[in-house]
Amino acid sequence: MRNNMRELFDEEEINRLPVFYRYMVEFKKENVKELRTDSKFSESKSHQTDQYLVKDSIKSLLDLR
Amino acid sequence: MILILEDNTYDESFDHVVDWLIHLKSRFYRLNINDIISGKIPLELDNVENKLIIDGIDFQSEVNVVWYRRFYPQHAIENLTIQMRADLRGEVNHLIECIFSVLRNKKWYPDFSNITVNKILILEKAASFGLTVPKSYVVNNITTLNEVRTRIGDLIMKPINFCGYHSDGDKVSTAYTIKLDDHKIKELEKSFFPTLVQQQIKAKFEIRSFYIDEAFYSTAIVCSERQHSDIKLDVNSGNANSVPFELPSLIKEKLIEFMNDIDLNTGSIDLIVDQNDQFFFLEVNPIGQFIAPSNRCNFDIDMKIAQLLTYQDEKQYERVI
Repeated sequence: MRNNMRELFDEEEINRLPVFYRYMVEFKKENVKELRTDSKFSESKSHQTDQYLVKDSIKSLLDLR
Repeated sequence: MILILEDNTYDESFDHVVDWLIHLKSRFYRLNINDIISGKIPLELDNVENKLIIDGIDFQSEVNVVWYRRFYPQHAIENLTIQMRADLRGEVNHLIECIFSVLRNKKWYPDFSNITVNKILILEKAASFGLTVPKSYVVNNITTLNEVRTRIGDLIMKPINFCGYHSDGDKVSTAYTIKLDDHKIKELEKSFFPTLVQQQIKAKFEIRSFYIDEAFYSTAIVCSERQHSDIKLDVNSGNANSVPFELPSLIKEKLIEFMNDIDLNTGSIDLIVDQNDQFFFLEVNPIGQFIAPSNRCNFDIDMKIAQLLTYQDEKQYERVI
């Protein structure tokens, strides 16, 4: 962790930012969960299609009645 | 069908709920906004006819409940000029607004109109429901800052909205709540960008309460030796313990009234209890993470959310058939 951002922004930039930016906390990228890209689920996908179809067929039968 | 709205942001809580939905054999569709933007899955949207066909599924007729996690494409608009990024953000924002409009009559967690909240305005609203809130000011100059400090004592500062992760090689930096001490004030220019400063509450302990449909799952974080003003930085220090906590009835009643008034049916509520056992409301995050406190306190919030979504879906489904 570090307590100043002079490595990331120059002095002029820092003075134009909200004060808290001077005291950001540094982490190794690999330790930040929010930046991980290995979510178990991330692609668009339909689930439980079989069950869905069964229910849908029941719905169709009821509609027919 | 349950519709889960997501993007490419890593979301630990999301994975756990999906695991439970699969176990419960619930009918659900995970929709990643990036797959729409990239054209990976087909989209047909007609707002006049109130029609939304995605991946061959008629969402208007099939979706009963929507669980919103995050829904913004990060990578599709990278590596473009500043103007093009701004243009595309506008296009995407309006597209998302149109998608949500077709689904506006579904049961949402949280409602799409309240996905972001303004930290300062929400304090004003919480106070109007009798919740105690820390004194908060936005200042842009050293004179006013010193006057506020003389009036109310020690101050902390934090973003009005949000601070993301700023990348620098294999490192990233972000802002937390931080105490504004003499040393930091001496470093300031006479005037600066408007910054949120808040009365520092001397905490006996802090509370993270996950709220959904008027139920509270509250964790008290008790820290024997605080190293930072932001307890998130102390949670894994070895000095902090998380224990299940029952909020006082009066605080719960006020929070429920407040959450109902702002149309939020779910969120992570941050509270702090001072040395005089007074409860201060700090903020509410509609898309809060809940897995860590849930695991520490055996709340099984992931399972309960999956059960609630399934219940809401089946309730609506039964109504249809």
